Amino acid sequence: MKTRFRTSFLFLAVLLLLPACLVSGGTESPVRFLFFPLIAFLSLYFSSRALHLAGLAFTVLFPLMYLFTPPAPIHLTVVFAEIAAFFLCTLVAGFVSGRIRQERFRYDNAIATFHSLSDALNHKNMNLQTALDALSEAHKKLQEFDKTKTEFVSNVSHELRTPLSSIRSYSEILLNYDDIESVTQREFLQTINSESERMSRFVTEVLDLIRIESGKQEISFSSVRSEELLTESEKIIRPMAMEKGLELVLEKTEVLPDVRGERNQLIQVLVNLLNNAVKFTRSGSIKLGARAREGFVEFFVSDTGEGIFPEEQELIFQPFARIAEHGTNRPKGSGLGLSISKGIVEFHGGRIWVDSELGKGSSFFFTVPEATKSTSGFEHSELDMRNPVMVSYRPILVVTHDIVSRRCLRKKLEEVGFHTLGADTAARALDIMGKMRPGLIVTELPEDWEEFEVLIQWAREAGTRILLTTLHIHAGEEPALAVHGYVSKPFDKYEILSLLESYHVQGGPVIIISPDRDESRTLQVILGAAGFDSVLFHDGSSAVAACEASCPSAIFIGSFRKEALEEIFTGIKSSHRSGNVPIYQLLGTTLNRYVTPVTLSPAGRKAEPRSLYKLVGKIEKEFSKGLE
Amino acid sequence: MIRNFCKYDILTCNVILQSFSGCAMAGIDIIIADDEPHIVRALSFVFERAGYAVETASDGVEVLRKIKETKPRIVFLDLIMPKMTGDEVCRTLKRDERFKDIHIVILTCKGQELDREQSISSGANTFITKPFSPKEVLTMVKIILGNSSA
Repeated sequence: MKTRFRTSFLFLAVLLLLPACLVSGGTESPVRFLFFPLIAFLSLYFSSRALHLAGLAFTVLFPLMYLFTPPAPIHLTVVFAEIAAFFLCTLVAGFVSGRIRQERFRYDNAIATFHSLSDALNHKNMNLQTALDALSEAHKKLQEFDKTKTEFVSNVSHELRTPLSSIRSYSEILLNYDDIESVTQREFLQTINSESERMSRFVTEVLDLIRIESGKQEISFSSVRSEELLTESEKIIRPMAMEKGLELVLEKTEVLPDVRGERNQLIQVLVNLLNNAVKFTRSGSIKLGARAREGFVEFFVSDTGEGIFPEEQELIFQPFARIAEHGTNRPKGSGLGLSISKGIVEFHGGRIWVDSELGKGSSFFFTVPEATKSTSGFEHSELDMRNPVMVSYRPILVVTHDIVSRRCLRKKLEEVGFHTLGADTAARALDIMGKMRPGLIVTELPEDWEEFEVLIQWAREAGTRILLTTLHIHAGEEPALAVHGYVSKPFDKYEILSLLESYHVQGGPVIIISPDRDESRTLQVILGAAGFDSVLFHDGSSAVAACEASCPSAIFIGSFRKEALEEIFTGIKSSHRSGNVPIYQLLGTTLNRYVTPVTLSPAGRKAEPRSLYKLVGKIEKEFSKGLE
Repeated sequence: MIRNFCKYDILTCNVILQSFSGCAMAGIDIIIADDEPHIVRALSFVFERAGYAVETASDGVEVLRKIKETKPRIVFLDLIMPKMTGDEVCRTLKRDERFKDIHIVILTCKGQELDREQSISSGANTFITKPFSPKEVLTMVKIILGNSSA
């Protein structure tokens, strides 16, 4: 529109030149020669054919004017000269404007290149920034770890040097002074003896703590009688309590279920707590007991001691967090007892906490999971649950968000002869599990990681296995497995790389879709270090568009809400470019050996129709494993 | 003169101290403050054997009180004590005109440079790293007391 307007404007302007020439000096005026190059140049510069024709018309028409102006005879040579001048000008102007256009084209090109380069640079910069962020995060964590380690070592050295200095002092005194009375000599020897005992006890405790905290204990849990734990630990502590004039009460309220754990370690926890109670109580009584609590046995040790400041109640379970500031002449310990107890209790799948009121006393509680019948089966033949007929009645709990896929899977399982239960969320599943114990749990990723962790915890305590899978219904077909693998936290480079390798992912961009920026940045850094270019997306729709546009070699998906996740899957699966690309899902938690992921196999990467049968087969296999 | 201290009870210590020493009360030479009774006992044994008058304390507040009462010539302070750390006691003493000439020995467990630097800034005179040799400590005390009396 605009060009056309400009062209017609120029055209008019040229036509107006005609009268302008006449007025400026008549036909004889040499000024007119100036117009030819001007018109030619303008027409070529704006690359307007109309203008060019106008110029030509002007050049041809101009001599005609002489015919109508009588006194001026026209020379044919002049006319030819004018026409030649015009064409010459057109030629020159054409050349010049050609050059100008070429330059302009180059300039535009350069600008475009510059923009694309600066975009790329920005992108790289962002990637570097993410890498830097992730690295500094890792650095901070390492520093913190290093600090805790240094503190630990310095505390250990302090605790070792104190008794060592007593031993050294007294032995030197005994060696240097010959005339010490035998009573004093004996006292010094006793000190040396007790301090060396203290040292060796401390060393044992440190080793215990390190072993427990590393989680590398090779301990086999068995079913332990709760009453036995109570009476055994009472026996150990009673002399100490009597010596201090304290009353030690073993409360027996009800018949307690057995617990699942390691007998000596559980006694150690009770003894540690009782020991503290005796140490920090001047007068009064210490109560010891247990009660059954929803699948756990809750043990308690309460005293009538000084109590613990509220702000210290969290700290006391940390190594060397001894409360020395407030009390006077507080008894000494290694400061490790409670952290060891905490480690043991958590290793057993329970928790430990304290209730305390200043001046009134403290109560320590800890829970240990009840022994499930399957674990106690070997010891109590009357409760033997290994009878397969009985066990097969234990239902399979199917937890999926989508009702169609849940129904479909349950139907398939019931066809094979299983009993099934269904739940749509992890919370609902926990409700059901409170009422009855399923033989196996098949679950999709939950929306809430905390609930999922509770589920895993529960399964661990009950000895039930969890199959983790992701189902997706595409285009009205039957539900199928949707992902090729799970990446659990914390990200392990080798785990991720072997996952990629097993699906033959090489080169090509990797797409990371996650609402969690830190998570995706960390992953990007890991992938980048392994030579994989990756592109980050924080929302589903743009990621799906990118999947269609580019041809990614793998896709990582973070924790989205169920609906968003469905959309992403639908988007990815329906595109012919990304439909067969391996998809890995990022987990917000760490998996343990009770959770088995069921994914598409590398062999079936192309397409795995009827993958639901694969899942059913896997479920059958896992279920029979549970029977062994 | 050897005094028989009751091991941990400071009150009894005082009573014994007063009843035995009588006139010598004013001339307390050394105060040892540590929350580890064994260490206090070992040091005081050695010093008393050498004929010095010794007082003991088990926390930071108690040692300050005793220093004000008895004006000793040397104070042994454990770095980590209940109520007040050795550092804090040392700073308090060095700020006070009356007590800033007292020779302060810090007993440190860690012997780490950081602790040492902190204590130097607090004005402590000597450092001993645990475990120490009582004999060497005694030699050191003899030198210090010999110097200051001379």
